[in-house]
Amino acid sequence: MTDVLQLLLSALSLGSTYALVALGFVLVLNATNAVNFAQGELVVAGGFLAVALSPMVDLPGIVLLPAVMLGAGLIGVVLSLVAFLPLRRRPPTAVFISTIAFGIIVQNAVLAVSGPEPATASPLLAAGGTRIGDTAVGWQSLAMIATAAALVGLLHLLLERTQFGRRLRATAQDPEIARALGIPVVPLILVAFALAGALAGAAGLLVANQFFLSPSDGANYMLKAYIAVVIGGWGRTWGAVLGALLIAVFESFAAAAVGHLAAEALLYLVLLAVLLFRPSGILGEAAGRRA
Amino acid sequence: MNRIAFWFADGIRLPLIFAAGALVAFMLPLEAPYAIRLLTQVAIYALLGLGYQFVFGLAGAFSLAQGAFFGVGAYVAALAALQWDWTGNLTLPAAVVVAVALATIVAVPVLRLSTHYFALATLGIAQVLLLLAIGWIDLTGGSNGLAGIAPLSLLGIALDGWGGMIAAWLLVALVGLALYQVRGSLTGLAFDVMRTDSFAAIAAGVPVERLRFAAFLASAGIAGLAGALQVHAIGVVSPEVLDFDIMVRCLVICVVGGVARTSGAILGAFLVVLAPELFQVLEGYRLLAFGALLLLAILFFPVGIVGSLEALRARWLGATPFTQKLPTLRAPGRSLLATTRPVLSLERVSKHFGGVVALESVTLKVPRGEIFGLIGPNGSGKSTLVNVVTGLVPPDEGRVIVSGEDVTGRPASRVAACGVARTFQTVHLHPDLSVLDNVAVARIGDLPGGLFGTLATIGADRRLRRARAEAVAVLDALGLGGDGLRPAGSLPPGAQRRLELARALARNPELVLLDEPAAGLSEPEQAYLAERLRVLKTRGLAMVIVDHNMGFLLSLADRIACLDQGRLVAIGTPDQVRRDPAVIAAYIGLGRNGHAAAEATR
Amino acid sequence: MIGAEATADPAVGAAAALSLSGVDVVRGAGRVAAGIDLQVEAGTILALLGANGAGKSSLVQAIAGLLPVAAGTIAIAGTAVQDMPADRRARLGLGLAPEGRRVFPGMTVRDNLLAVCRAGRAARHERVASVYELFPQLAGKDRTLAWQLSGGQQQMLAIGRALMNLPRVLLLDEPTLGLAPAVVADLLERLTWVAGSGTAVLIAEQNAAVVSVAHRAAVMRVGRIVLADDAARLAAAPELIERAMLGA
Repeated sequence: MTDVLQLLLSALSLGSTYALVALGFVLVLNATNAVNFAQGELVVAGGFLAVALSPMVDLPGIVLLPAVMLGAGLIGVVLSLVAFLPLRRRPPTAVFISTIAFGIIVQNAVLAVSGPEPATASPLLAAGGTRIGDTAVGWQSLAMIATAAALVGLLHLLLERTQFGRRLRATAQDPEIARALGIPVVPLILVAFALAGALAGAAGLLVANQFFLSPSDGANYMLKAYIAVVIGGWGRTWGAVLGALLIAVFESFAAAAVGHLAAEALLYLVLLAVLLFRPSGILGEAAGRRA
Repeated sequence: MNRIAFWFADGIRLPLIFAAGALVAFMLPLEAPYAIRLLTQVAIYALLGLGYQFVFGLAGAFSLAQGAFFGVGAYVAALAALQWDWTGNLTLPAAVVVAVALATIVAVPVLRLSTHYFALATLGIAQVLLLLAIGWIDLTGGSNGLAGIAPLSLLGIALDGWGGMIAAWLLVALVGLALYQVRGSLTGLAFDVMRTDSFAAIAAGVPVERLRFAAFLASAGIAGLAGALQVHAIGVVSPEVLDFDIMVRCLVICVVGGVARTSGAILGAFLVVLAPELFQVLEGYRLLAFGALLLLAILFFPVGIVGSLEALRARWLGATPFTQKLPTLRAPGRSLLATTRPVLSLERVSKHFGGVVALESVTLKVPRGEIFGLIGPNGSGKSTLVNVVTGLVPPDEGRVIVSGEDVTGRPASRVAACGVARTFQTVHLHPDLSVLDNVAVARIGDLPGGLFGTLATIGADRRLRRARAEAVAVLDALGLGGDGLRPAGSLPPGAQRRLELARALARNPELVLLDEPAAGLSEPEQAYLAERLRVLKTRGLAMVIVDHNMGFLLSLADRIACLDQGRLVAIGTPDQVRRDPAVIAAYIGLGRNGHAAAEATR
Repeated sequence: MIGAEATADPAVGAAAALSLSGVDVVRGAGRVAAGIDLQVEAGTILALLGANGAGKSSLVQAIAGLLPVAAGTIAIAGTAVQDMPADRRARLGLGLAPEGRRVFPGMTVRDNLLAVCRAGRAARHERVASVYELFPQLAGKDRTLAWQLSGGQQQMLAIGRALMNLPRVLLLDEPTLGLAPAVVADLLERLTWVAGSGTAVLIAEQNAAVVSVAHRAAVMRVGRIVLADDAARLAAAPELIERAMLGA
């Protein structure tokens, strides 16, 4: 029983970071209909930013959150300026390639600055943990889940309650009409990329203590986000969160049963099966969205 | 003089000459073994890139599994060489066979996915293979990999050093020639059309699925071959061969070098292998440079170096002169037997989309040599009817019979094979391709000899020659003969409509469905089109024409049917239909809104 | 009541709210509208009639900026807009209720209205209230997702959405398509209120009933305007409209 709780806790903390990455991915997808292959590298950039900042301030990691989100958000803006906006009217593969290229640049820039070793940042609140019954509960895991939940909640408010959110949703549902009714598209795209970067950066900060982070981890996070969005339904914002949690639970429990590598492989096989039998995702694609 | 300039400036030659020059300059001061090793690497990457040109360059499918097939080839060759002491005689074929077999298995679910899912699925496959290589330690040696693989030996001849390099380059030449050959063939034309506009490909009867499948298998096989060569060249294999890194190089080779071009892949391979060696500064930043290069290329040279050179050549020297003399062959046409059997017959066909009735129990017959007009307000089911007949949409109930054959529920390509062709409401042509080739591609279904025939041919593709010759005849019949060499996009609107019709006719159909052929045409253009259609009618072709332009249809059609909310509300001669109150009501929207509307017009 | 923004500049009053001269529209390979001249004055309704395929919908899309204009000029209150992107035209005072309604299906009625509004927060919610005053049926559906509305309600939402920025010009593309006769009559009456508050209204329709509320009417056939006159005169001679629309 305690094992299950333990696993669930680590699955949720992992899933909460996946959810942030996937949310960023789906925001860009909805604003632009483009797949952002650099999303995972933004996690790495944010994580290493946290690693670099950690020794400078002798405070819990959580205070770095605004700075990391700002930094990664800026990288997101640069990404949209150099790798998306110029290619807006070209076929989707052009954006696939440009975001892959941008991701490679970010990854190797991090590598050049920080070296290849896995690194770790300060814990969000404190190291150590407590026990609930027989279950050991790490402060970091709890803080990760809480931080991610808070960010998801804020994003929810942003999308549902603000003019930016309404415009983003309107554009996602019918870009042509949104534009014809005067919703300016370019600022919306820039903000979506900035948010994607900020969320990925936050995810980087969250994982940088718990799981270590190495410059080559980006592809993994990008893939998990991509899979979460496929499973949650292409273009569905909250489906992506659910998809991310499902993946993390699957991954954690499968890893406990058959080992880490086999669990990963199983996850991809499940993905292929989903694509084969339910190409519109487990929850179905968002209304009116095609690619 | 000009001819010589052209010869040198041809897309395949200039970069090759340039590369050879650079190569000599590069090799002269180097130690032989080092230079040979590098050149072998260039050949292997060129081969990998050439393979990718098939699936990405020709078929336009953004596969991210090319690096994985390379890794599979590498592991297969390594295992075979170590376990059974196989030499290149068997390891190379084994690598190809396993890669192709794997591609065949995954192709079935993966190839029908749309772009973004296809990219993800291929990436997923690559990840599974990478994890297998790391995790299945008993077989693959895990992260350490396998070492001690013997150098290449073919037909009992050990091919290390010079021999290995030459063997690799011979394979590059072979595959490069095959790519060059396919690109310049009728099949290459079909690839070009399907990559640019899938509707144009459907209208031309291009077997899209089959071509994509073939390209996917070809690229997997070639990648497997490259992987096997790599293992023999460096003697070790580790999970690194399955890393995304290889895939990135592959993209750099094709995108920076030149998409779909043989010379592009070779040039790209030189770049990827030699650039880091030439510029030692890049050491450690190799991938950073690749990323920047890829980004710059996609932003500023979307057709790659070779494509840009070709564009420059076209600017300086004008387009390549089209010197081929084409004999004019008779326009294709079935020997139409005198028969009273209807070409098209619909029996109680119904189609619903959710709760919306698109077609409700529609029954009609179109005999040979009839022009059958179809009218009706927006959303009355006209387009659905065309889609049901051509197999794009299966009916819920009823039967569709073409020339006596029940084609209900068959896929579009099989219906097309029964002699049904169509045009679309919006024009779908390949704008950069010549008028002639836009029509020639539609002969692909009727001319014997497929991909293998193309590969077995040396020099110009005879099938393409024949297709062009037949296309000339069709163009002449529609008054487009003089425009054959212009890019289709430069034609005026009326001529583009006729060109679409020409493409449909080139498939040699018994029945053509025309979706709004007169839309956007001037009065003289309409008159000309109508005259051409009457000529086709006398040859026995049956035509179903959907149009809003009553004037055009009334003077042209033998019979007209009016659809309203999925039902046939009238059918008869133009005179009968134009007087029919139900038609007037339905057509100007009075039927639906009852009194309010009727008042205004009464 | 909701209507046109008061025109501060008296000189603007001189130009028609919407004027087209010599407009050609090309769609794909076809010239779908040619040599179109039209004017809609502030506070009036123009009914643009035509059988479907006549090119009126393409013309509306070209005015809104969804299709390129191949030749000619389009001016909103005297400002040439034919080369501007769609969003800038909207900001200059164009409101569009597109063919097929195209409401944002997954958003609530209120969010549909708010999303496109450029006014400040308080004004936004006031305008929503005005739209609900114009279309009381929407008021009870405030939190309903747009796809769950009936066809008539969706049409009202599409029109209300187009009015959220108090446009000078309101474009309506086939607003009566698929609506019950009683709903059509009601809708048309409300459009006269909209025009009454100073907005120029252009209704593209294949339903000739709209002539009854229009000030002027024009008939398009095969991309050209073949008949243009006072709406009252045409309403008295329906056979003229019928012949012009069918061209037979």
